[in-house]
Amino acid sequence: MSTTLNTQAVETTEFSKELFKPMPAVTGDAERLSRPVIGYWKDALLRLVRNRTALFSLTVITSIGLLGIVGPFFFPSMPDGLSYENVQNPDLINLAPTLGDELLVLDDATAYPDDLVKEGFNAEAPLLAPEAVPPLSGLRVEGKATVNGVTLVWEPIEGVSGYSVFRALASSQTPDVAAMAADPSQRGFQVGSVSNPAQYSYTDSAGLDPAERYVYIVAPFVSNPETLEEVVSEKGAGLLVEPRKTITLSDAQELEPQAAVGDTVVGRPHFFGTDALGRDIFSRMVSGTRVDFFLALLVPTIALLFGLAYGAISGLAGGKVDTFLMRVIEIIDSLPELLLFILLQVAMGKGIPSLIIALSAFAWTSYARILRGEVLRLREIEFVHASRLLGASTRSLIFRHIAPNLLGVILVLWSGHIPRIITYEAFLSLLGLGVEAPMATWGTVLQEAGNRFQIAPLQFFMPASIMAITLLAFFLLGDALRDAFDPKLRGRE
Amino acid sequence: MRLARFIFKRLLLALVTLFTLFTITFVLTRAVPGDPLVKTKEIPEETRRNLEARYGLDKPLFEQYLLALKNTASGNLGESFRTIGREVNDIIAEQFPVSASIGLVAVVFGTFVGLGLGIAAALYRNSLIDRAAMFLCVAGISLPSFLFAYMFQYFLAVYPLTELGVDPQTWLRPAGWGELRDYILPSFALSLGTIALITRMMRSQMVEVSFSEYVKTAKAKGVSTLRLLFLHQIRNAIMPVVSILGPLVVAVMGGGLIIENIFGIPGLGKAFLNSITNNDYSVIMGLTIFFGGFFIIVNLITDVLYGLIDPRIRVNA
Repeated sequence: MSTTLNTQAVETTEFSKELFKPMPAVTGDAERLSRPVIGYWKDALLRLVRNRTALFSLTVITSIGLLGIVGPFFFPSMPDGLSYENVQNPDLINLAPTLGDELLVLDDATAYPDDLVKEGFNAEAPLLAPEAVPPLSGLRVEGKATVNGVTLVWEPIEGVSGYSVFRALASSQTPDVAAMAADPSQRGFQVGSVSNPAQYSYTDSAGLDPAERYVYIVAPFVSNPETLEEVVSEKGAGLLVEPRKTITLSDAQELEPQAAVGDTVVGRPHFFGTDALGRDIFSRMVSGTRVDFFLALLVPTIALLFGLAYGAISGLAGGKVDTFLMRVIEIIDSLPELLLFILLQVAMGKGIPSLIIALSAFAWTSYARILRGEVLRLREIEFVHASRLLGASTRSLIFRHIAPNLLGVILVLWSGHIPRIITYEAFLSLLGLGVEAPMATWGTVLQEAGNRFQIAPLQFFMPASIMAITLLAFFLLGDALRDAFDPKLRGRE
Repeated sequence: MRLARFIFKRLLLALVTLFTLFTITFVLTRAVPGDPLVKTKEIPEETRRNLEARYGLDKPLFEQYLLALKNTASGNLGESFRTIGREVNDIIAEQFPVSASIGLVAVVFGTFVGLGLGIAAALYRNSLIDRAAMFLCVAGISLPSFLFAYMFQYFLAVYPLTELGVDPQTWLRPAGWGELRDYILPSFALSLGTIALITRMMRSQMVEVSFSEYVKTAKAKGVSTLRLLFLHQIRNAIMPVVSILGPLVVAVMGGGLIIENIFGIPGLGKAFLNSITNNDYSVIMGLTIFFGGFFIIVNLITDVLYGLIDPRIRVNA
């Protein structure tokens, strides 16, 4: 409508030349850019820096990554992930997290005495009535009380059938051991019994905790010859015992060259405790960080390079080739990713190379699809047309206009891929795939700890929190990167 | 007509995908180095020949492929290499219902909670509930379900039973299967991802819808708040949520593979893990094809459903 009106106006109005005067030349600052120029990258960087969550996430990721790089030098573990302390030493298995325990140095060949039997003991003495049994005396610990074993000795009594040994947790600072010995309900559970009245020793080695204090009660018992019923005397003796953690002399001398038997040395710290094989879990997490971060950076990069090539070929070729290539992607995308990871790992066997192939084999499709779309979109976008019209060379078109816009998308895709690789690695390890046994990854640490986590939950929760924090940090950083590189998306979600 | 064409196209794609999955699975299981029949013991030559004949391993590879394709197409997924006489079909018939029921409970529960949370967060934007929901979303999306599973198992079952002395008969069991209460922990752990995804999506959809012209018109007309919420906002916002239900089921069932092992549930995840540890290739292959086929069909159903309720999708497809 308006166009026709204008045409009519042009046709009917006469313009005289005097009506037109040249405009005065523009002077002053009207065309000057008065504010500093902020380019695409600077803008993105500014947005990122202003985002406090992003900075915090970046700090977390960098620290964990650095720990992975330099950590193995500070937290020595043998190449197979075993800490040197784990030399067939039961003292080091399944330790709770510690900054370094006080360890009692023992002879390397510490042996617990065999059952001690008194010479000249009258084993044929007639059995006493349960009430007539005299109180047990001389109860003490033979040698050192350690978490590996507590050996109790006492004076044997003639006329009894044997001795019952009970163990209870010490309830208070100074438990009344005599009262506990007299009261059957306070004796705790029976750890064993000695059925030879002449034997005067017993070694208890079951599940002693260095953090606890125990009350041992040894009480003689008399069994009825007819009913075989055992009557435990209430005149047993009690003893408060604090088992100590120990270290063998050779291991102690690696920590402190001057250490001698009977000394106390401070052991190595185990921030996350040790696992069922005595390996330091923190060291394993640190060396696992290397593997995990290596995979998490490499796999998205491989997928990106392949996806970029595939997407560019598809987008630039167009026509039937494009349709075919996109159909292939559609099919791969509808295959269940996790199952293919599992299958590829099973087919290729465990190990880093097969893990890399399995994780990147089908991950490139989203890069290819999105980058193809971006190439198509950017080729036809107005500012590219405008730039071409102004005579920009192809080279400058690609490097000044297309590449920077692609890079934003690439960075967002790439950073979003990283936490997924960490998750998938853990997933495969939990299924018993992943890497070969001695090597540690976060997933294998979790898998091993998961097997016994109802008994030792900290062995699992400490590494799991590290993984959770890392995943959250990567996720938040990825979100922030997307916000920074694509302002159009801001405020959505 | 357009709808029929759309469904036909989807169906065709699903068939091609199934065929591709089968071929990849076949090639990969046959490419496995080593002998599928080797056990810890050496087996005599005679036995080996009999076993190879039984499993068709003596035939040329292409013939094996055609045979397997024919069997799979007719619904026979083969026999275990490790336990002679154990059919993959039987394993699936016994253990799939367990996996499927946990997955179903998780998805249904997660969807409803997610919808509710998403709507609440959108209605009370920037309130405490919105912030809490967003935090849950970040955690639920970025953390894998097995972490939640271990956490719930310890804090909701092991800790109360061992440290607080709760009666085991009346409380959640850390592991076990067969009672209704055994659904709670695994399904809850699996549903967090679903809750997070749906909350996030529903919230953004609700916010977008609230700025739309038709909501403004309805407000101007004087439509009551409840009517506006249910008939105008939720109804439109909920549509795209349907489209992610398919991928969600796939993700939840995939996570279930691990969760079942954590809670000692005799589902397909357990069977999968066993077949992996025993190198039972025929079972791995059979289960992969079954699982893959199941996922592809779930995706097909969601696509078609979405096409049915939202005509715009059919036009663009």
